[in-house]
Amino acid sequence: MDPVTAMYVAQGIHGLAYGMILFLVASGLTLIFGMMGILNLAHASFFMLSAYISYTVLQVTGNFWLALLIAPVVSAVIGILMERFLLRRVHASGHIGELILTVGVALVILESVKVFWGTENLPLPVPEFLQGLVSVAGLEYPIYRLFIIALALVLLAILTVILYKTRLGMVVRAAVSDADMVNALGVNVPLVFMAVFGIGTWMAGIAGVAIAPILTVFPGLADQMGMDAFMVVVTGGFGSLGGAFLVSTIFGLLSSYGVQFVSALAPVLMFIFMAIVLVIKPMGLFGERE
Amino acid sequence: MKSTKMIFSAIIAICCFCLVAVPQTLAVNDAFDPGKMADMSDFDPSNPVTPSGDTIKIAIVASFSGPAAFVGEIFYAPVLWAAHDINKRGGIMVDGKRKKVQVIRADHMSQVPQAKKITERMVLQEKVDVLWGTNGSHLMKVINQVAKKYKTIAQCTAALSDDLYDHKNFTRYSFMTSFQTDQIGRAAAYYYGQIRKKEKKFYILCQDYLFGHAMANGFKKGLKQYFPEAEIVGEDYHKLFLTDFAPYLTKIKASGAEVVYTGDWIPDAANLAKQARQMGMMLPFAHTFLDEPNFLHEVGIEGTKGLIQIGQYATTNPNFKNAGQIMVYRAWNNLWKNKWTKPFNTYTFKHGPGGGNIGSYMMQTYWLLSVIERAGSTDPEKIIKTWEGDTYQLLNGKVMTMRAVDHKAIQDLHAIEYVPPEEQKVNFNIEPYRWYDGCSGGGPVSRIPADKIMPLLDPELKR
Amino acid sequence: MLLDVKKLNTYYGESHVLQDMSVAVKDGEIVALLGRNGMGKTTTLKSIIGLAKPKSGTVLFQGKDITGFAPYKVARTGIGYVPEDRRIFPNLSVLDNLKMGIKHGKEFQTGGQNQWTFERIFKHFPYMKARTNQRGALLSGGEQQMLAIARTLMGNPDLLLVDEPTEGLAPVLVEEVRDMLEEINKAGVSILLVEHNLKVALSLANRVYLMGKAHLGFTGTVEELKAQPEIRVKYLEV
Repeated sequence: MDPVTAMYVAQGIHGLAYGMILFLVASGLTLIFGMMGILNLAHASFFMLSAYISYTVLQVTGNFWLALLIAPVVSAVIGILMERFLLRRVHASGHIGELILTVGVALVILESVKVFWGTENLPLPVPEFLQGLVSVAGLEYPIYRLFIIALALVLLAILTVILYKTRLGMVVRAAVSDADMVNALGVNVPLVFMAVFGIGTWMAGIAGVAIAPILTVFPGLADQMGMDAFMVVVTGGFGSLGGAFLVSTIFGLLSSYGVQFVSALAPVLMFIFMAIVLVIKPMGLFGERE
Repeated sequence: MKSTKMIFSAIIAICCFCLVAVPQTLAVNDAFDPGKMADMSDFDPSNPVTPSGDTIKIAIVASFSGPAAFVGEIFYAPVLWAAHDINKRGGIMVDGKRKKVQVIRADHMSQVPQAKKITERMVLQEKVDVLWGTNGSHLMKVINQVAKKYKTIAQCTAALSDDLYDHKNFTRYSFMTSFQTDQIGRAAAYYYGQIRKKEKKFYILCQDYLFGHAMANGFKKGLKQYFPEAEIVGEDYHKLFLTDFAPYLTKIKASGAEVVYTGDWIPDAANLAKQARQMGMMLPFAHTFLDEPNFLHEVGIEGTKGLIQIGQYATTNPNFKNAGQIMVYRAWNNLWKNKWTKPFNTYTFKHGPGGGNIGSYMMQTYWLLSVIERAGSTDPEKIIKTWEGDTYQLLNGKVMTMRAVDHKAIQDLHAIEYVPPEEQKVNFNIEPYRWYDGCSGGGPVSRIPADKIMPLLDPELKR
Repeated sequence: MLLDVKKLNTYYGESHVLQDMSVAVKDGEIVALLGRNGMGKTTTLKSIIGLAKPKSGTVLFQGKDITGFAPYKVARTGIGYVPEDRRIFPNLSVLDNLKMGIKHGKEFQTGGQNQWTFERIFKHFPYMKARTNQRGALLSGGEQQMLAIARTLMGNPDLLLVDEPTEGLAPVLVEEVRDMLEEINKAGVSILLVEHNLKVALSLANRVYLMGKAHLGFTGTVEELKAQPEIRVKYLEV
């Protein structure tokens, strides 16, 4: 592969890697909004919290895989507790109340993170097993980023199977469309909500652990990711997993190829894409709820 | 006749002797004297001794919350040290009274509206004498505006943009004791073109905002002046708090660059360098903010070798030149090792006055207190009169001059090359002969003379 | 008494939309709830199924107090809800829509409960058998109505709450729906029906309730209503 082609291919893989991380975070956000009508502004905070927890697990056990296993689960449990004991109380008061509550939770998580871990950047090394580069047809690419892509695809596959081949998945898809009707048919919708909230938060947690070795773990992690994930959800359509996947991939590729070709415009490309989509389809690419 | 000749020769001899032999300290108005430093063994930034009564109030306006929250602590410890020291010596005589120095934290949360609110509160309610700050030139701008409005003294210690003191933004109440973006870029260019003379191809990657562009422009200007044979093979500006640098790194790799010049600060700087090493890119970075120890340790000795830092508080080798310097360093370092707790016991705070930004903030504060003492007053007019044209020598021997016309500090800068721990003895010449065990650090040091990097003076600034 | 609703008071915010509303359904009956638009008929059904929470009053089903229960708990006692607008799941197939109606859980495994199997549903709704994989969104209005009814039947309800089933349908389909409800009732399902089409309502119901603004205006058998034309004028005609 000649250097120029190698460069373009590398940018493509960069885009996919970032897109996959974005998808892991956005998927939970879109399901939660689609099903429960809750715009969970604390979602990205769980992404960040999981990164911090993985740092501690790594410090204590020295094992990245344990961190990948434990941190998202802890994060998800806290998310479920938030849903069960806080959000549900506020649900009756309507969307504004929910929004404010999730903002409050986001702030609490931000402060807690600083109290427990401090404000400095925490280093997390890439696990030894995944360090280094792999050489493919003359292109040298970091193994860890390929791992991230693979991990996200595996999770997407599992999620798709659950969603389209199991009863729980069917119930979730129905609830995204009309949660009250599902309730009136005899399905314990509050329990399903909790499950979706938990799974969605867990996926964001996985993303947090996955990206931690690439980034520094610091209290601002939630802000950037939250903004991007929100844009993915709006553009892909609330409640649409396929939309989230497609848009995440597009955003990832836009950002890497944007930097390559129109560097000055790169940060704006996502906004432009979102604006175009919303003009044509105000509910997002595959959105079914406004 | 013969006696006249003898007297004449004697006079000339004495004059020559005076010019040559008399130590440099005669050229400065004041200097930090380690011999006068109080016993600091009770100093703990987590448990500050807050003086009561009528005090000289210094507000540190900075990020104490949000993503940059650690910055506030990095300012707090050294400023508090200086205040604690002066207080233990009995305080400062101002306006006929002996007053102690009180340090107040003012959180601007990295936001412009909050910066305005908190700074005005400091002035109007807390009635502070000095506004000390800050991280983020856009936020320093706010502080300067408030200083101008309420005629309060402001000291710019950490914001680096030159335009803060141009004809549009200048206020005589504010003094810039930090180095400036234009200087840093030109210093880097001078180092590569006039001292190092090796690499020729540079890639510029900076943050896409006022400061990032200023850093880039300084470097480009410097290259034109001091390194015309240099080639800029690429130039990019990325958004702040960028998560994924990979696309930029791929571009840099393909450009054939030998050095990457960046003005990025943490966390962007750390992410940039870290991801570069993860991608197998070992190019050296010319920087000023990559000295953050956590990041350095994460990347390791190999990955941090060859970094070139333009530092505002350094000195030619060896770093510790006299007993006084060593004493002050040990005082800080021992407390760090044995007494202090989170967040002040992390690597970031290890070396304090030994070198680096924390040392700089400490010295800038001592300069401020020295000015107040010599002004004999907290009256802004008296402080201005004393500070304009003032010269002050820092602990490590460096002399700073406050240019009267635009209140910018004239100073040497230094280029520090990072080398593995076993090679650091030439710089860190006292036990344990290395800055850290797990990463590269100083290293050979080159001096960039002040007259080669005079602060940018806005020609339209008339005073 | 299968369903006994006494003195329900339901509010939407400050608005008192049900005032002391009472309605009853005996085992095997079809009861029609009539009245002009906005009188509170839909709210009555919603208050029973739990989608609206009454502030006071009681809902007794098979003797048990289910007032204020969450909708899924109400449904599991044996009540089915066929709402206005049908509300079938557009993103699910016909088969999956039907599956959504099945109530899972220990209490539904006992023998004899499983009256409405897929075969039985397809017998009553033959056209569905060929369309099981079709997405709900692609069905016509009439087909969606049938699907909505079939879906609730899959849960083996003893009582069906049906809200405006003939709304927006062509006359032929109106007849079909009418006949279907009669068939279901003959198979043992009691029905509480909200219906603005008077002909359909009176042809199906044993007893009627007429609502005035938020409250009950008249109740009696169909014959009693037919004998008092001024009642019809008062509560029904525009």
